[in-house]
Amino acid sequence: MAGHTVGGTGLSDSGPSNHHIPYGVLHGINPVTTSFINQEGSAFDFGELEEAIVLQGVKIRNDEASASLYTGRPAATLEMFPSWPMRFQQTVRGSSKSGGESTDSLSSKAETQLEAESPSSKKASSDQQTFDQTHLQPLPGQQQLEMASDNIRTGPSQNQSVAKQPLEKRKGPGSTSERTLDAKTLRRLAQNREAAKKSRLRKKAYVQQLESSRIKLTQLEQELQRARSQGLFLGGGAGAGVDISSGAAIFDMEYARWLEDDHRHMSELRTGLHAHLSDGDLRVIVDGYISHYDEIFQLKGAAAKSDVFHLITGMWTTPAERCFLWMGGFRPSELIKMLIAQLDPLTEQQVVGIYSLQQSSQQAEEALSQGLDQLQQSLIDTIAGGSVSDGMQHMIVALGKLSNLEGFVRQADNLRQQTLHQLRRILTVRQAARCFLVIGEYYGRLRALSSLWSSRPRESLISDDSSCQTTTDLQMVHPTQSHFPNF
Amino acid sequence: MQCYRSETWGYYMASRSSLENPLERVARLASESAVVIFSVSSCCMCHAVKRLFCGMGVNPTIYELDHDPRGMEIERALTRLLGASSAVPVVFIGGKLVGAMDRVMASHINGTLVPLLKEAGAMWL
Repeated sequence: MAGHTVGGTGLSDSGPSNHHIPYGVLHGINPVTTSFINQEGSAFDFGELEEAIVLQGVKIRNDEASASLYTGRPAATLEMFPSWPMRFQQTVRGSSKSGGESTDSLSSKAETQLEAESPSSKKASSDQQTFDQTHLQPLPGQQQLEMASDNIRTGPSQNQSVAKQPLEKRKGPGSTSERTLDAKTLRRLAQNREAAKKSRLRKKAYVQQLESSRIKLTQLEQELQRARSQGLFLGGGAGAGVDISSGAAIFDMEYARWLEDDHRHMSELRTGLHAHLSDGDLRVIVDGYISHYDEIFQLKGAAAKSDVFHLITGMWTTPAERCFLWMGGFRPSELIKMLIAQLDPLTEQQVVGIYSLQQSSQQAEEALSQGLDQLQQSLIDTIAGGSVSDGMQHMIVALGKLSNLEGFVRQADNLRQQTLHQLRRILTVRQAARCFLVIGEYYGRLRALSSLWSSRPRESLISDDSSCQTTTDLQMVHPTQSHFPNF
Repeated sequence: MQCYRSETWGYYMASRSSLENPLERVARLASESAVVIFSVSSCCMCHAVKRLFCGMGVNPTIYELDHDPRGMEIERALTRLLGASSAVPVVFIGGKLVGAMDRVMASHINGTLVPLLKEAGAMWL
């Protein structure tokens, strides 16, 4: 936002209208800073100075021919240090016309008082600085005279009035009327102060955040360096994100490649089925698909050794898959349940086989889940228990227990692999081909669901209470009803 | 709820020869019950295999190696027998070695576990 009114950067928080009719209310007021300062007494505080600047700025703007440029800020910033003698201030202004750094330092000091986002205010400052230069120069003489008289008048607040002097030069001698502060002005000025304060705090918080991020970045770089030196990075610079382990990054790459292979296998199955290949040829394709799955289980086994959390939390999958994850992968009994409907027609023997497969996988899943529960409980007890002095010992024990996690993920993958193999045994070649096609398509759709979900329009008018898509659609049809408590 | 019986070692120590080597001991113990599981009380995978059998309505005989004075020997022997990193859990059915958890799971999925249990008399329809 270019073009700040004097003290207006504070107002940027309080309302957009402030910029356009900044001080309409103050039209009736002749903001004579000197008289104001006179009234307020001798104690100097920045709040009053701000107000004075605001009022000055208003006056100047009112007197300006070109109302589009806001003025006074750089001059105001310069007048932040009323203890400086007038001559010095002029010199400072003069030097800052030429040099960039002093402008910056002064502007930044102004910023601490008159808040706002650094780039815009600096820009505004420099804009105003340039503007000031063109306007201030023609009236040096008059300015000197006014200042002298002002100094005499203000007494102890002399410095402030001196500070205000360059701003005052534009007003004629006759305009030093009494300024009345009405409630609106007071409120606005108070808002200014608040906004300025808020901005200062925001800026401080932002800087602190930057600092901590910088520290974190150096720490991560060091970790990366350490990991590299230990030879954990294979194939040079896997380009993994800093907060992902190298084992996880490697697995993610391998999994991505496996997914591409999966597409290829699926097309083979599809064309094989449609082309009515002989059973022998189809068998080759089907067995190839089984090997394809064996491969991912092998990869997962290796990944479980290096980063079991990556697997078990499902960070390698899409969100929708992750939602239904069981022990680092799909739940075999759920898969079979899904398949039962799609595998018709089956012989009676096959039906028995499928149902008993479902039952045994359910029992195995239950057993593993209970084992994992016990591991979790045991881990909690270890971490929670023990006195402060035993801390390290407990950590060591906990680490030992945590290492069992890999075993559970391995057993779960083993279960998944065995289930697929058993399906292959129960079904004929054609049935198996169709079965694996269904499986592949199912997970493909689940992955697609994740993408669709993440790219859905966020600012929907639908309340978040709707649980299923159909309900949402219904609500969209009737927008005026009370389905939308948010409005 | 316990579906298995944990044997006390004392009885066996008193009445059997202490010259028996660990593997012989294992073989003997395995032949004395329909379903025998060698376990460690703190092992969670052992807990899982116990739950599996209990869930199927089987009452296995459990030997907790950490409660046995000669448990360490047996553990070492089992590790060598299995060629695996972990000795437990190990399952014997009808005196014959089935294996560690992965073998037990695989045999359950491919439908060979239940017939084995029935044959050993550990399960009735």
